[in-house]
Amino acid sequence: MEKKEYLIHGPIKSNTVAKYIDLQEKDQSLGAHSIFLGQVRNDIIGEKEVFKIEYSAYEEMVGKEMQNIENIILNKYKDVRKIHILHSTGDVKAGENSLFVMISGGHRIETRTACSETVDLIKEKVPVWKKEVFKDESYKWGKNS
Amino acid sequence: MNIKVLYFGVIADITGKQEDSFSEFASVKNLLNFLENRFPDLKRSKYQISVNQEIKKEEFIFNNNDEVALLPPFSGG
Repeated sequence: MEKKEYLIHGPIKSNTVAKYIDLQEKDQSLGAHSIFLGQVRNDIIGEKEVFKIEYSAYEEMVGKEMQNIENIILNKYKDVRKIHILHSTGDVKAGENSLFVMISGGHRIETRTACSETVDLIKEKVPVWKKEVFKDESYKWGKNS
Repeated sequence: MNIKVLYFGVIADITGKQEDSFSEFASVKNLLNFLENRFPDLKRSKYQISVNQEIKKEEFIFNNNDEVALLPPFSGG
């Protein structure tokens, strides 16, 4: 099987998302796509505002864990047929997107539920870390809420 | 037993580097005893261990050329 790329350097831009949407035109049996985008928030921590997040990843393990998540979702939701996931590494500024999940299937209900579950599994299982960087270049290691 | 050890996130801040190589440890437990002595802040940190990208327990016995990683709580997304 072809090895999928799950990591992208820098933010996920609209042209990348558009490319994934356009790709699905080839499969005319699909009836629904659920898309999740995770955006970097300008959280205030103490008195400082988050300016960017610097993501680091254990790249080889990310591939394995993403593959496991895809298998879990495809086994559980029979109506789901395609999963696309991209996560940023490196710098992503507040306001830019760092996570893209697109679940494609026959109908809306399973794609919606599967999309939400996929995002939760990514947060729980995928070895990615965020460093929240302030304007003065000081930082804090992020925690998932 | 040669092993490569990778440090990520806040753990890399504590150790001051991103990787190490060791040959004197037989198990995850041996390695962690050594590291927690050398870097006392590790004792106060939460982390999991992976060997060849799979989460393992302290009892795990190394094989030659294993890739070990100290993984603080994930915070992707």
